[in-house]
Amino acid sequence: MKSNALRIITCCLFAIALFACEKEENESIEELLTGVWVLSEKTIDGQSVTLSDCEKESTIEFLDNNICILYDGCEESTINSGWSYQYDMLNIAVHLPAAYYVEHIDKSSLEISRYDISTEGELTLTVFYYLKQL
Amino acid sequence: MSKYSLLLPFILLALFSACEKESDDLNNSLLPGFWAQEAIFVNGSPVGLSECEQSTRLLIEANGVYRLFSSCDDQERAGTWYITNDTLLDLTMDRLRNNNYEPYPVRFTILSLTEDELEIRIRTFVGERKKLVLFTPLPQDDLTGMSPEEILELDRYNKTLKTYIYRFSKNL
Repeated sequence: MKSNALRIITCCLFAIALFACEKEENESIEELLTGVWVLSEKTIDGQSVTLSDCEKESTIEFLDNNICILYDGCEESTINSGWSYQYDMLNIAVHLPAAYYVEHIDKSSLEISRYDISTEGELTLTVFYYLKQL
Repeated sequence: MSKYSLLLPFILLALFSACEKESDDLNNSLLPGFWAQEAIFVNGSPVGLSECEQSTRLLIEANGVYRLFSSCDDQERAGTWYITNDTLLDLTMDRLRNNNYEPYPVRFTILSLTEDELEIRIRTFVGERKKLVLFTPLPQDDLTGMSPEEILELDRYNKTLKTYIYRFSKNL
């Protein structure tokens, strides 16, 4: 009886040891990012910024081949760029050296933030909220 | 004691050690953050910081990219960073060449890196320091109206080796 219990515990621990360390998190964020995201809201240092109608038409499309398509609703222009998710940061080539932190992501909403240095030498935090285009 | 009991310690060891990050270097995790220039030492002596030198800020992020701001020329500069052997900090920095700034690899020795403080050292020529934006740009030599002797004297001075230490404190 005791030996059986020990066997079961051993098997369970083996299973945990084999599967617990797999890095699913980064992959799942990359998978979740894939698609077209529409800008819905923006805050700077916690203060909400009113978006114009054309800004609300701005989108980012992340393709699974690490290409992204940025559409500026006000300029009505499209930029093709590259993207990657490494070191827990979202890098969009045309926005470098600034990179983004994924604060929240699910199948319908995305929240990314970036730091910048103001002309006064202060750190500012801008948060962008996106909704997935259906 | 059954063979399962003998295996148990190894399984537990695997459980608690296998999940460590591939590169969990202490310095790599301490460096990212927002740093303010606090002090400069030249050949061991502290140098009084000008107002714009005090404004120098470094935003270092985990993806290997940093941004540098100084009110000396109100410019934001950017480059890459890399830590080797936990003791050397490699930064690509702006260097003046033919009146243009170009990225240039610069290696510092890390003297101290804690949660709150970063202290790095570089030994270089005075003339090289003038060309390199070591966190703050310096005025360039103006040879206008200088006699050949004065130019020679300046050239000798520019070929002097000095040790520069930069200390930053973390703002975030």
